[in-house]
Amino acid sequence: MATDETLIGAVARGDERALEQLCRRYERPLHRFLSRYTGGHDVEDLYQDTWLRAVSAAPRFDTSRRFSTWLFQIAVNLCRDRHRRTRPDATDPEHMAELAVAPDTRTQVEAGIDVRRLLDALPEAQRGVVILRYYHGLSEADVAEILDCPRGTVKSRLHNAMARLSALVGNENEARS
Amino acid sequence: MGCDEIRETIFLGGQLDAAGQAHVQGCDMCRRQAEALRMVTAALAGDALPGPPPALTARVLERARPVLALHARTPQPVRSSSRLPWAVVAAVGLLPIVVIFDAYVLRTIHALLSLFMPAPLSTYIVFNLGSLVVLLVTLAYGAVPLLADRQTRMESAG
Repeated sequence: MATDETLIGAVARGDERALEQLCRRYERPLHRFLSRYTGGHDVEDLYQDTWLRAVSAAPRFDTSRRFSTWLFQIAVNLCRDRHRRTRPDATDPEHMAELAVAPDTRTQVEAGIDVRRLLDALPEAQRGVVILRYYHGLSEADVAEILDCPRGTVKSRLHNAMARLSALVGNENEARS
Repeated sequence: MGCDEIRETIFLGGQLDAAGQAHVQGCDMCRRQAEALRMVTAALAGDALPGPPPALTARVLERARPVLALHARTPQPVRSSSRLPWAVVAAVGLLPIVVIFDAYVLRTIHALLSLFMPAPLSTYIVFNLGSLVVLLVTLAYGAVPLLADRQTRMESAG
């Protein structure tokens, strides 16, 4: 079976079947990553734009790198661009208040915990680390490369994110009991 | 093991040793935090999302077709090179100029200082200045591989 790096090399030479193979391999992980990272906003547009940018940049792909890391890095860059253009800061007090009273219409899994609302409560930088570490099982080094930050920053963001999520859930538990 | 260390370990996904677990059992605050964290990680693990709509990949292929056609007409070799060799060559090429210029400046400062202070004192000051310059140049050259690598990755990610 051809490796991802071989396939993107073929895409750089205009091979559509290689692109289709890559799309099939990454359609679920990439789509889920975008859904969680953006809270479900413009996912399909971002999904298509990520692939189009990957296809356009394929001739510049550095074969010493992993394709998956590169693809997610493109996706993160596009999400950041969109975030800068459109979205209010998830940490601003008004937005937090909005989240606190958001109707419970979304996915709830563990004892009434609304996972999307939890992820929305994190600043974008921390949300990216949590998604890549917990959902995609990537190493600290890979997360650091995708998010273009030092490994120490990945650690501190993960620590702060989990502290924040635990505090939110803890407060909700106490309010319920 | 204190509360801070317990939090550090569990928030980063680490496992507590026997002493850490004993602490959690005996500390009300750590126990509540560990329980809240367990609920968070269980919720994250159980959060399943549907896959993409089946037509999405077809739309990607449709939109990518003109770009692929362009690649096919003008095939480009896949690059495996980084900017590091060029950055090192450029940096090393500039090094003699940097050294000569700095030596000239330090010498001039030494001559000026010697006009109105004892020679040993001006030598001492210029020696310290020289050490600072060496430190700065070393730091700047140390950053060259990092900057070259970052530049390569940014260009590669479009």
